[in-house]
Amino acid sequence: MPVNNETPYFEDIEVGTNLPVLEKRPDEVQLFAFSAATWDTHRIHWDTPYTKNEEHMEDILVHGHLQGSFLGQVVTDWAGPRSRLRKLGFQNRGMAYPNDVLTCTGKVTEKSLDGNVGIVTCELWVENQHGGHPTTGEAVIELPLRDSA
Amino acid sequence: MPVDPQIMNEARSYIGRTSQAQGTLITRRDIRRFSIAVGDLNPLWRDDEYAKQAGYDGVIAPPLFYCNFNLPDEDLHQLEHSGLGGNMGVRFEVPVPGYPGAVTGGRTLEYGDPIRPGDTISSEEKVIDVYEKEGRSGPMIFIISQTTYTNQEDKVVLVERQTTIRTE
Repeated sequence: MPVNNETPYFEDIEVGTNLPVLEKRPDEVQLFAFSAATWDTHRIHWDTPYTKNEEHMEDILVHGHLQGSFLGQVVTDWAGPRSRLRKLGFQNRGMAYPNDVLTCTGKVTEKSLDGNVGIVTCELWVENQHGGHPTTGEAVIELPLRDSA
Repeated sequence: MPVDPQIMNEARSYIGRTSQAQGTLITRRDIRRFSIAVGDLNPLWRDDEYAKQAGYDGVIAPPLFYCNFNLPDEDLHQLEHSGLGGNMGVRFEVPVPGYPGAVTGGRTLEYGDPIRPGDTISSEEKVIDVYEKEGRSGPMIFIISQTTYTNQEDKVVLVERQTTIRTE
């Protein structure tokens, strides 16, 4: 999904507006790269025999933090360069495995004014190919007002 | 069935305890590698001119960039067989004998100044609350901690609140 080079105006967003969908299919290479970039030596993200035989899991796991990063990307891709992220929360509720199809998106649940900026609250989620939600979250974003451009 | 009151008292005595992590210098390369690993090629993290037009000094770090970067780098032989290190912050020092399971219940991040290449980020984690809850598979001990990340100008870049759930 291309980055939104424009930031939407607060006035143009409605409660119920759907955020664009970001599809991720993290494979073993991506899991390795994320472990490397975050210096995460935990075997459950790269050592398949250990994870299956000793941790008794189905497969190596997509990092909870990587899924959180996907939700962060949904927000920053949509809100564009002139937005400011105030808050982001996420909860890892279930497992995600390499080559899962993770559909990452959200929707606007609230909007309000705070002085001369608009505040938009969004619900976020990662949905897998089975309809499950391994990770959910929420974000509070500042968007500019059309009139104060 | 409730948690042994003696265990809860001992665990709750850790409320207010802190752990610190020394300054980590953030480089352009750290930010680039993190964003490539996520698959997030937003020019805000990669293109100084684009970032300046958005009102920043230059590229900034994406919102989840802070992950793990203030953990101490232990020798490999100090790691457990699982690959996990021993020093993962004060929330894991709260004594909960008989509750070896640990799950992260969720995190909330509140943002301050952006993180930029060349910044030195330090952090302090504090145990905020400890309480028990009855779950479907038994009693659980909830540990709430808050980590404040600051830059070299003592400006807050991030406040992270996390819930760690300890189970039998």
